[in-house]
Amino acid sequence: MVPGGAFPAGCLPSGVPAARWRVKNMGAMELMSPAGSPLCGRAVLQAGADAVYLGLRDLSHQRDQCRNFDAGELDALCTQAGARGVGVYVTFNSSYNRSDYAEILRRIDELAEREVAGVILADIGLIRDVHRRHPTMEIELSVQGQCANRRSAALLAELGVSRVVLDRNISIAEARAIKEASGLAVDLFAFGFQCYSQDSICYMGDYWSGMPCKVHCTGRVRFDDAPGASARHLFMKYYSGLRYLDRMADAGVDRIKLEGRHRSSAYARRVTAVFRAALDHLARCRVEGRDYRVAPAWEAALRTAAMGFEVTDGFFVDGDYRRRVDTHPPLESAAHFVFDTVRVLVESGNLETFRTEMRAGWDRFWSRSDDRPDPDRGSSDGSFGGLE
Amino acid sequence: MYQQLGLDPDRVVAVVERLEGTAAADRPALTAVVVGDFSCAQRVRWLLEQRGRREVRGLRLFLVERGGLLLLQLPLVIKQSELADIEKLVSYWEDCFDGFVTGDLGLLAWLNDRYDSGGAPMRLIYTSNVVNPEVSAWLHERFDLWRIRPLMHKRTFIEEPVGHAKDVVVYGNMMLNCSTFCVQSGDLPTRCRLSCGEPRALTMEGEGERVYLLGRSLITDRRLDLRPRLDHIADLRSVTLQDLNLGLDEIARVYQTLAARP
Repeated sequence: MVPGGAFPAGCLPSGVPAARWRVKNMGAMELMSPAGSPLCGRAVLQAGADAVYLGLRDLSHQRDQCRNFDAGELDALCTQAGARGVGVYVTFNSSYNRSDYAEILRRIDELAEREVAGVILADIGLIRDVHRRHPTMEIELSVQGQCANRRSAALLAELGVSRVVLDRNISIAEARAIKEASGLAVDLFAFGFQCYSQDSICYMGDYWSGMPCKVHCTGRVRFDDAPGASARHLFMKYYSGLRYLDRMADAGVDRIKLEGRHRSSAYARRVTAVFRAALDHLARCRVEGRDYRVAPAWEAALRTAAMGFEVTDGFFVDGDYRRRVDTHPPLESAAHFVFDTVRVLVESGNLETFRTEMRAGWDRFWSRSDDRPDPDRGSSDGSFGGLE
Repeated sequence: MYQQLGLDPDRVVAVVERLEGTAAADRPALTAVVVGDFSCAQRVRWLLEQRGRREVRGLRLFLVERGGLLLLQLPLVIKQSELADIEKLVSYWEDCFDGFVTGDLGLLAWLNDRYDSGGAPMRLIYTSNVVNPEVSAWLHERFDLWRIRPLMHKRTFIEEPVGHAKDVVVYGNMMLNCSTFCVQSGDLPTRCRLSCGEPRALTMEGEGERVYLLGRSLITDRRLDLRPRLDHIADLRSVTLQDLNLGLDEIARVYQTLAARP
């Protein structure tokens, strides 16, 4: 990549779209999209993802509520992705106790025989073992692995990690410092729900619902020191790095990652398409020496994907999430919803798949209010419901 | 061990004296006292500066005379932009403490290298999702750890054998989450007025439960109580009472049941 610069005149091969040529040949920022289901995987490939990440079915990880992939579906997606030059990454982004550890390692051994581009891990023991067994396999540190500074990144590089997904609250300047100090490839999440907690250090879901996340942090709260004030949401925002893609590229960010394995194919397609268009536009701007500008239509599409939550600039610049708040026009959103629904219905092929896709992402919100703890329970034994 | 989610030397003294007066006090009341904050670099600094070196040193001396240690809780995850400040803070305050608790691997590496190279002996506790022996084996090879403290994601995780001396928070106010940003200051240190320096109580309406906003974390008012599970926790070497608003009688009662164990 040529940070902040343009391509030398005449370096582009004729007949090749500038943006794609840049992505494939100059190491420009790639786009990694989520695939919570095979339908979703096909959608993001069509929408222009450079890499796809997914989970395997029947394994314990952060997104057990997704449909995920069995071996046959994984092979099929790898074939489709390979034809487009897209890498498929398989996530094992949890900590695994003894009973799961050997099985996870066995599944990763199997993956080494398949056409996957790499694995996304969070467990340090697993990282070390996988690197020992498969030294050429690309290991990416999951955001659940908590890499937030250059010293942590350097330590992970020692273990065999070659790429890290940085914490959602890391600014672009911090990402640059981590990359420069560690030499690791760095990924930044560019769009998604602004989780109130540090990844992997939140027990609200386990504590109140017996599940990893039920977005309890989006609930209403009432402060005791403001008795007259109405209840307010503790935290309920989306973040978008769309406006800062040029700064990310200048900082040497290698890949932008999109959240949403638990969301529908309509969501994944929409968000992937927006960031594909924005990255291609960025590449053209660099070639032509123009400033990168965000199209209003892209932001409108992301507002819809945010399901009515406020969209902010996240922590990409100066760590101030209050810089910008976009509201959510209801008519626009309704129109997008109808369009998405029809499209998913057509692509699903059957009503059961359609139902699963459309419920994706909303389950966490729907069932939360049914999971209230027993108010008479004076103390907790830490079992947090459904945990054994 | 006794962990205070803050830094109040008078209360630490009151707790220790109360425990010394219990029927179970035929051995040192506490192995160590941990003070500080596990979420917010600003709050850790504020807590220390509010008290000053003299008062903190006095507290350490009080504990050392009783065979105890004073440890400083540092944030579990440290952002790149806060790393240098935390390292300066540790350098400035290190002679007031016998060790540190953190969950940040990068900071742990720095602490380990610093005290491994001939400095004062320091106890390091690493607190994170350590749930299998493979993780602790690597930690053991790479660091000179005093204890591993597994996080409270799942009870079964805490009970897992890891092949290394463990400390577990078995009673008290429980940490519900830990963030690297602040909902009140927008994460700009210049905007931070330490409005959460003292805990702010709030009620989660959907869950019908009172919690406290403390630094960048939420803490339960309800008590965690793992005492019935103590026999099931592998590699347990010490237990911690975590205190935000526990009563002295309550602490003494829990201590008695723990101290009565072989």
